[in-house]
Amino acid sequence: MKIFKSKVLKKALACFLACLTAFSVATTIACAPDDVLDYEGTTEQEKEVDASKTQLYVGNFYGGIGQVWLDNVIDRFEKEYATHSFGNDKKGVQVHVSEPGSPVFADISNDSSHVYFFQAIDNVSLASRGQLLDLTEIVTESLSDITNGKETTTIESRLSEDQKKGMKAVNGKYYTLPHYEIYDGIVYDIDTFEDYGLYILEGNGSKTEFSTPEAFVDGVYVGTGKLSVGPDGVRGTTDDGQPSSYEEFFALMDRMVTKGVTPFVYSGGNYNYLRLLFQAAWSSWEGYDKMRLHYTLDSGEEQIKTDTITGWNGDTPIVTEELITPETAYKLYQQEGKYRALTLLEKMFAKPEYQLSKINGTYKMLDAQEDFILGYLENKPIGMLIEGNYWYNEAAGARERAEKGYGDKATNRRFSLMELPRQATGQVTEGNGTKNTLHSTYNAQAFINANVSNNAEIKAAALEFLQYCYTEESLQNFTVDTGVFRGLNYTLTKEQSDSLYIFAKNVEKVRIKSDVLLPDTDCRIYLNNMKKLDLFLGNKFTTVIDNVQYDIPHDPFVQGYTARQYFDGSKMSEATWLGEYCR
Amino acid sequence: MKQANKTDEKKIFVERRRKELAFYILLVAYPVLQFCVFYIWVNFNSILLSFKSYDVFEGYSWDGLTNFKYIFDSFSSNPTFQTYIKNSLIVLVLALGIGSFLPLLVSYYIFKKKLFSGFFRIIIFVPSVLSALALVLGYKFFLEEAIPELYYNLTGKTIKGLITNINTRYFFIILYGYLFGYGTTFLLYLSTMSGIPDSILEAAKLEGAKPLREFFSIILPLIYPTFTTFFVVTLGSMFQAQNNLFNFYSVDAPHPMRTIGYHLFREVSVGDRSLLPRLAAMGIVFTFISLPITLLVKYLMGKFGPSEN
Repeated sequence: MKIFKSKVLKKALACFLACLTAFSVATTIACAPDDVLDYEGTTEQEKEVDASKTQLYVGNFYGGIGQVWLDNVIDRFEKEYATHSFGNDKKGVQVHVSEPGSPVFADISNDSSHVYFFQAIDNVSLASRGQLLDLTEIVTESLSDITNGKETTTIESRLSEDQKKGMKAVNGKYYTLPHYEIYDGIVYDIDTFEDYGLYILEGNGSKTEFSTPEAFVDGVYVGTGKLSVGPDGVRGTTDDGQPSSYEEFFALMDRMVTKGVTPFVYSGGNYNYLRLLFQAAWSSWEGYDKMRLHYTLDSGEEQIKTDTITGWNGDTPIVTEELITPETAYKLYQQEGKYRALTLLEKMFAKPEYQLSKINGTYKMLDAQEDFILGYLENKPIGMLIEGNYWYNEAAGARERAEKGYGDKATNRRFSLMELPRQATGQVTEGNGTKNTLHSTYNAQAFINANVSNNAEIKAAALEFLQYCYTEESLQNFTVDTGVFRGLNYTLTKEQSDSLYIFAKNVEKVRIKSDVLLPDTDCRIYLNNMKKLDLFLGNKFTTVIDNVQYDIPHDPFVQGYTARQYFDGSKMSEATWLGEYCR
Repeated sequence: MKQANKTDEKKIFVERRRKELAFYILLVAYPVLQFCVFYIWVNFNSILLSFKSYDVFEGYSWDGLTNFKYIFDSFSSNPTFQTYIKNSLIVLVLALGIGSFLPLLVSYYIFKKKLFSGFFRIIIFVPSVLSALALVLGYKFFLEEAIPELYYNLTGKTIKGLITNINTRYFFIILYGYLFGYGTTFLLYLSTMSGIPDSILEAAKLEGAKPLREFFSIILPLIYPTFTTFFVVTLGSMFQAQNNLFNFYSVDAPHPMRTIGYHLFREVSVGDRSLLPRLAAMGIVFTFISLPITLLVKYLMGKFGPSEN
């Protein structure tokens, strides 16, 4: 026992505990994997401040799209404005990017950033409280000056009528500009689909037929028979051979299992990805007009009717067409598309072989992306990843590792966004399809902190910089750098489109033939209850089954509840709607 | 002359007292200001907020007792709310039962320098100096990956992670609290026990007192004030305890596991301004429930508990 009383040993023990403490702090600070810190642009080295230039600070949420796009636009801006004075006898401008941080929530009045690019922000609340700068002037004026005559349009001309209404909800002025469009749903592995015979053939009314592994040569279909036309009903488009009904989708899942392909992978550490699939499938079924009712809460002059499930005939839903008014908008919780989306999720959990077995609470989205990319290369293919169109940027590290490990086989892997079914059974025939809907729910916006009003020089620089980011050239460069579109009306040149990586190019093709729904509205009831009613993290996915509440479509299905039970438990009563939301 | 000296002395005395007073005021000014702002003003503002509602265009406006009505209705008609209260009470009972007595017994074991007591002393205290995030991550990885892997290697069967598994997650999250959450408690008990004079313990030993008798007749009465403090503080925070849910799940803890404390913290952290008045009202209601209970228990423990005499 004397040895334990030794002073030397006690000192050693104390040192060890100190090191352990320091190590735990260090690992906590650096607990983000390299992928998160390195993908698509890192935080730039801090620039040395040149006091002779105007200093502008930009806060950027780089999740999903990184920072390379911002660094590039800053480079161009600083060069073009190298001799321009924004005031106070300063020449030129330096733009600094703030540390990537969490989205803005409640109050930015004391924040040091001037210009922001963020998502999931409560822009109406911030604008109402005078914390956002009025952008009307730069949105409505011609871009001729800022582009030296190259463009004569306005930013406003690139906005849809719905966007204009929504973005001018506060005092009839613009306070934000749309940032990126994020669509969630299913990313599928084209290489796996081709090599394992997972494309659906044009049917003859009997069971679903699939392509063979030999049916594709260098990406061209050479098999016998024709590929099905897919949900859009048009031959020769990106969705040919994809399931056009839930019946076909479930047949595809079973086909995958027989072929040794795991149908699904997703992040188990964040079950919100299942909510995103839920939302995407629901939106796809309903289409643009009916899904837009969630934001307008009114069928309006167009008298848009929506199908709601009002009862059951055995296991068959009884569907009723409804007109929606602000007082009856609770019926949107009963849309048929919601139930259909739930049947997809129910099926996912019906058998363990439908999902990758290692999905658990520590399985991050980066792990899911890596397994998805590597699966095909390691002969453990995974057919579908539940993700958003931004995933490819986040997976930069995984792609790099794949290319290092597998060389050419890993380069130029082919992925695309799947259009989700819009009917329950059968197969869509040529000329009888429907248009796809891409629903962007993240409410990503660009805006300027109203506190710049106190400084004419900074205000001028901030407005100029933000307008600069929304010229056609900047919009196109944004998409080329990130593979993601901004929520405005613009197109890429052929050269720009060809320069996109394969996944982004395929998403562009899907986007061109889809309606894109953005969460812009001037509906007061919606804006007052935005966090509850939004289709990203709101209560549209909440259900109560056997007196237990669930927000995410995971636990109920694991416990054996059905899509019907989930759906029935997720209805909203008229009394709750009128008492809680309409008061 | 004497009169002049007395007057001078009085002046010096008054001057000294004035300086001491000034020093004292400067010393307490900051903490008093902090108290006024962060306790009185914040709570006063919270009380006012509980009578308001929020409109995104108009801001906060008076709404009378609407929020309180909603809360009282929820007690009887909202099963999710009832689940939160039930979970809060379960966490409280466990904390008062196991959480109060287990550290006491472990501290006594170490105080008596039984087998491996030195080792236990370090192991129990180490989690208190480590980052909570690192601990939770390590614990999660152990349960989600190491245990299933070990089970698979031993049996060839696949099991879900113990936090992913709906049937086991509640138990293991509560267990986390007991494995890693009592370092400070244990240390305080131990230091209080160490303050007991050896002569008392030796006298008891000479009289043939067994450890159990020694614990109940000598140790417990002498450390009773410390025990009471912990007991009452735990009771007082019955509707604040989160059961470490935020560390494990951030804002997405499953509803069947949520407590009132987690619900309040979570709803504030998601930043929905329209919810703040209702949360303020909830805080007031639960304060009115927990405050009298806590004061009563404190009084009863003081009146009827063992005394040093």
